[in-house]
Amino acid sequence: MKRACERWEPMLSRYLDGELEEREASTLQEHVRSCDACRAELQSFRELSTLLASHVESDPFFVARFRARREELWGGNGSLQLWRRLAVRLLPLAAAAFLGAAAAVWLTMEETGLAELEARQLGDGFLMAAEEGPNPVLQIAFEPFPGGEH
Amino acid sequence: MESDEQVLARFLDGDERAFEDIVIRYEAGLRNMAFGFVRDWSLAEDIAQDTFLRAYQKGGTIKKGGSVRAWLYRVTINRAQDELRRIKRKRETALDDHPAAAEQQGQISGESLAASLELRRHLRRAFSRIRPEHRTPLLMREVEGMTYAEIARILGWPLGTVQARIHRARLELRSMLGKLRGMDK
Repeated sequence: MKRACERWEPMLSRYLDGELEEREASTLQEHVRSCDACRAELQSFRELSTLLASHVESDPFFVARFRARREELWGGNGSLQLWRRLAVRLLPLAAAAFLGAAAAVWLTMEETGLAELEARQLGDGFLMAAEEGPNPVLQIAFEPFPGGEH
Repeated sequence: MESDEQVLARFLDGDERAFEDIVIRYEAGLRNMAFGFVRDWSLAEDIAQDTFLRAYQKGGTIKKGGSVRAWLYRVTINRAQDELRRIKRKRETALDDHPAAAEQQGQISGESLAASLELRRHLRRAFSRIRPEHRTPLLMREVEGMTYAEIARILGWPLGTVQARIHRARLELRSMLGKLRGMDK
C-alpha cells in the first residue's frame, strides 16, 4: 500500500477523532477525496477502531461480582451509606467550626503580638533602637530628656 | 441519559442501586485499561473492582463539578502502575488467549468461531506489544471516546503528546496486527 502523504498523514488520527479545527478538517477532507494513499490510510484507521471497539466487551457478571465484594466488605446496604450521609452533612459544619476556632486563635495571637509590640515601642524605646541599630528618628523619640525623666 | 455526576448525586443521596449504573458504564473500559498495564485478566478484574469499591466508599470526595470518569480512570491507572511495579515475573506475550476465556468475553456473530478467536488472539497480542505509553491513550480514546484534552488532563500530558502517541499507537498496532495475521503494509 502506498504511503500516505507526509504532510497529511500526522493529521489523519486527529481527523478521525474529530480533533481538527473545522478549517483544517475541511482541507484534509478535500485532500483525502483525491488521494488514494491517504484515503486508504484513513480507512485502515477506521477499521482498526471498529476492531478495537468490538474487542472491548462488557462483562455481564462484573456487577454481580462487585455486589458480592461490597457485601463482603460492608455487609448490607445500610451502614456505609448512613455514615457517608452523616459525613456529607456534618463535614461542612465541622470545617466551619474549625475555621472559626482557628480564626479566633489567630486574632488573639495577633492582638497579643500587637500589644507586645506597642508595649515595647512605648516602654522600651531605648532597647528597640539599640537592637535595630542607629535610627535617628527613634533615638530622638525615645531619648529621655536630658537631665530629667520622661 | 443521566450524566455520571447526576448518578453519583443520586447515590450519595441514598440510592444504593445508582452506583451500579456507574459500574456498568465503566467496567469494560477500566478492565481493559488495567489489562493494558498488567496483561493479566484476573488481575485487571481485581484492579477494576478495587477502583469501584474505592469510589463506592469515597464517592463524596470526588470534587463537586469534577469528572467521575476522569477520577475512575486516574485511580485505575495509578493502581495498575502500582501492580506492575510489584510484578516480578516476565510476561509471556501469549496472553490470556485460551479459547474458553475468549468465549466468555462475549458474543461472536457473523464469523466462524475459529476465525473470530484467531483475530481476537492476534489483536490482543498486537495490542500487548505496542508500548504502554501509546496503548493507554489509544484505549481511552477508542473505548471511552474521551477527547484528547480529557486524556491529557487525566494522564498529565501535554496535548501534543496525546495527539502524537495516539497516532503512533494506531500505526504500531496496524503494523503489528498485519505481521501477526501474515499481512504487512
